[in-house]
Amino acid sequence: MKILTLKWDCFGYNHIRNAFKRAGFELCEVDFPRDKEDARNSEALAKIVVEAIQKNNADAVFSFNYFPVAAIAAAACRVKYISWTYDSPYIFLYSKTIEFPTNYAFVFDKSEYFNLRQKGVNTVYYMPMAANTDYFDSIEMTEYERKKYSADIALIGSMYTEKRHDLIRHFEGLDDYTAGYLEGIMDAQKQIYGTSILEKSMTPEIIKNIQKVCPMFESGDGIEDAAWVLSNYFVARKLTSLERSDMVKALSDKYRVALYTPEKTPDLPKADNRGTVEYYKDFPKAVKNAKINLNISLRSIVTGIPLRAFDIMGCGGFLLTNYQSDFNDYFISGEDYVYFESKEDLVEKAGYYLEHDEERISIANSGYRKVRENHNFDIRVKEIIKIAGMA
Amino acid sequence: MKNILYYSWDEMIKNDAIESLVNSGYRVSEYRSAFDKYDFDEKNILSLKKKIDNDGSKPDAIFSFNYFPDVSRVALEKGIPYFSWVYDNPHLTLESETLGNETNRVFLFDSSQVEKYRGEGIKNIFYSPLPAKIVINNNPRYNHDVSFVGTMYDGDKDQYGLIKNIPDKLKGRLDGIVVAQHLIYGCDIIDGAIKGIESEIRRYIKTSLGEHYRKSDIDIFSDIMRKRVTMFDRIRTMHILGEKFNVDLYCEKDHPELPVKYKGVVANKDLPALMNSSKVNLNISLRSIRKGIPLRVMQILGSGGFCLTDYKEDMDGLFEDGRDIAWFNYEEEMIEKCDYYLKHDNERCKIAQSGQATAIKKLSYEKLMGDIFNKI
Repeated sequence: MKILTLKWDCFGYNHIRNAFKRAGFELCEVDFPRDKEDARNSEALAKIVVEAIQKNNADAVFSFNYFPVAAIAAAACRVKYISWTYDSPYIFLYSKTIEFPTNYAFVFDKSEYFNLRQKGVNTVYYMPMAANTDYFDSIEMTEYERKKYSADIALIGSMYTEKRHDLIRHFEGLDDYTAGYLEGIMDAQKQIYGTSILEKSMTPEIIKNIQKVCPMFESGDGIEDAAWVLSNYFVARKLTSLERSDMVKALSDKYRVALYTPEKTPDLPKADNRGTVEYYKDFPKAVKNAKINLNISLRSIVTGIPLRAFDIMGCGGFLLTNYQSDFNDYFISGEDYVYFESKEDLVEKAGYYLEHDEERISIANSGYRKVRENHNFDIRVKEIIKIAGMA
Repeated sequence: MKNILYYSWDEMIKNDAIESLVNSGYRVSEYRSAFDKYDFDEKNILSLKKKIDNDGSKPDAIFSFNYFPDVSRVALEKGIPYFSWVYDNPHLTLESETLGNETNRVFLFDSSQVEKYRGEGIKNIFYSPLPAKIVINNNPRYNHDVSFVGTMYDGDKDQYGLIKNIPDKLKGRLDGIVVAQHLIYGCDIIDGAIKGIESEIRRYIKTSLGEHYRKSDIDIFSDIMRKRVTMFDRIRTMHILGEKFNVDLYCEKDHPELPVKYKGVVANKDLPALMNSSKVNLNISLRSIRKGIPLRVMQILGSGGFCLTDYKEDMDGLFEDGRDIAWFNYEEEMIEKCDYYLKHDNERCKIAQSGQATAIKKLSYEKLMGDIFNKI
C-alpha cells in the first residue's frame, strides 16, 4: 500500500514517514506550499495533490494538520485522506469538507473531538500526539551547550504578546461595556481548567458589538461561527498571554526562570529572556538542561495534551504543567509529571521540586519511559492503520 | 435540659418545630418577637428579658430559627445558651459582631460556611442538615410530571439588576463573570474572579451593613451576583426541560416566555401534597449555597416525593445517588435523568420511598433538634 505524504514544515514529518515505512508501507511525497496558497479553497493546490496521487498511484494521503483542499483531492481520487492535527485552534477542521467519507481526521484534543462529534462530524477521531525518543536521545551536547542551556525553570514558547498574536488590538474602538465583558469572562476562565466557557459566553449581543469594530469575514463553507472564531483565536490567546506573563512573573520573583521566546519581555525583568530556540536541534538541549520545564497550555486547548508536553517528557525533562484532563488517560501526576491548579500552586510546586532533586529526576524518568514505550510513532501508526482500515 | 424559650418570628416551620420539641419532652415557652431593627431594638430586648425573668422557671436555652443579634446579646447577658438554627442562605445577620458570643450555638446547613467561620476563629458554629417534615401518603396520585417550586430572582427580586450608575466597563466585567459562572457547574469562580476588581466594586457599590457588622461588603456583593446566576440557571432549566417534558412552575410571577405551565404560588401547607403528586420534583440550588443541601430537597424527601437535584457535596454524607435521590453534575445529565425517571416508574417510586425512609431515620425534627440541643 502506498501513502502520499504532504510535505510542509510541520512537526514530525520524517518521524511519521519512517514509522509508516517500518509498518510496511510504500511512501511518496509532494511539496505542499500551504503558506503560499489558500489551503481551504485553492484549486491550484488541490490540483497539485490530485496529480501527485495519480502520478504515484497512491492508495492514501497523509498530512499533519487537516487541509480542505487535500480532502477534496483525495475524495476526488477516491482514496483515503488521513490527517493528524496538532495545532489549536484549527479552523480548517470546521470546513464542510471534513464530512467526506474518505476522511480520517485525527485530533489531539479530546474536547475538540467531542465538540465535532456533537456537531455531527463522524470522520474525526481522538489521537494524542507522540514523541520520537530515539531522536531526542541521539542529540549530542557539548559541555558549553550544557552550560548555555542550563536553567532552574524553563518556559519555551510564545508569550503571545507579539502584535501578530494580539488580535484584540483589532478591537480598537470597542465599547466599554463589551471590553469589560471580555475581561470578565477571562477573569472567570482563569479560575478553572478542564472546561472552557469562552465560546458559550459569546452572546449574540456581544458578537454584534465586536463585529461593529472588527467585521469578520464569513468563509462560506464552514460550520465554525463567529463565537468560535472570537473565543478561540482572540480571547483564548489573549488569556494565555496574560496567564503566561502572570505565572512567569510570580515564579521569577522567587526562582531563576529562563524564557525561550521570540518576544521582548520588558514586563518580566527578573526572567532571563534567552530569545528563540531552534525547534529541531536546540529545543531538546534547552529541555534537557532545565531542572523544571513548564507547560502553560494555550487556552484553546481545552483538555488536550499539548505537543510541547510530549516533547518535554520525550527528552527526559521534568514536566510541570497546568491541569489538562487528557493527561489522566495515560499519565499519573506525581509519578510521570506534575500538574498545578493555580498560580499559587505552581509557585509552591516549583519550589518543592527544585529542592527535591531525586524525586524530580525519578518523575522525569518515569514520564520518559512511558512516552518511549506507549507514545511513540509506531504505536500511533498502528492505531491509525486500525481505525482507517488500512491493513 | 428541659425548658426552651422559643423565639418566633414569621417562620413557616414554627409549628413543626414546637410540636417536635414538645413530643421530645421539652417544655416550650414561646416568645413572639416584634422588632423594627435587628440591633439594639430596645422594646424587643426589654420584652425578651421580661419574658425570661418572669416566666416561671428560667429557660435552659433560647432557640430561634435563623440568627438574631439582639437575642444573642440578651442570651449573653443572662448567661443562657442561644441555639440558632439557620435555614436561610445567604443570611446577613451572621456577619453580626455578636456571632462569636460564647453563649451562642449556631447551626448552619452548608459545611463550607461552617469551615469559613471556624477559619475566622468563631468556635461555636456547627453543621446540621436541615429538617424534613415527614408526611406519609401511601397512595400517591400523579397530577404533575415535573414540578419546580422556586423564586426566579428576576424582576423586583433581582438585586443585581438594581445596580446602576457604575461605569460601563465595570458593569460589563461583572456581567461577564456572572455569565461565565452560569456556564460552570459544580465550581464557584466568583470569589477568585472578582479579586482583581474589589476596590472598584467598593468604590461604586455600597453594600456595607453598618457599624455592628464585620466588614464583608465584598462577600455580600458576590452573593448578590450569585442570586443573579441562579436566575439564569433557573430560567435556562425551565427552557431546557420545558421543551422536552411537561413542567409545572410554581413561583411568584408568571413567565409567559417559558415553555412551562405556570401554576402560581403554592402555600407552604400545600407543598407536601404537591411534591407527593409530582413524578419528578426539581431542586435547582441557589448558587450561594456551596456545599449545603437546600431546604427544598428535605421538603421533597419528607413528603415522599422523588427529587432530582444539582449535586452538592454535603449530600454525600446523607444520601446515595440512585438510591434516595437523583442528582446531576451537568445539564446533559439532568436531561438524561429526568427522561429516564419519568419513564421508569418503579425505579423512581423505589427511590422516593427510600428517600423518605432516610429522611425519617436521619432528618426528622426530633432527631436533629435532639442533636442540636446536645451541643452544650
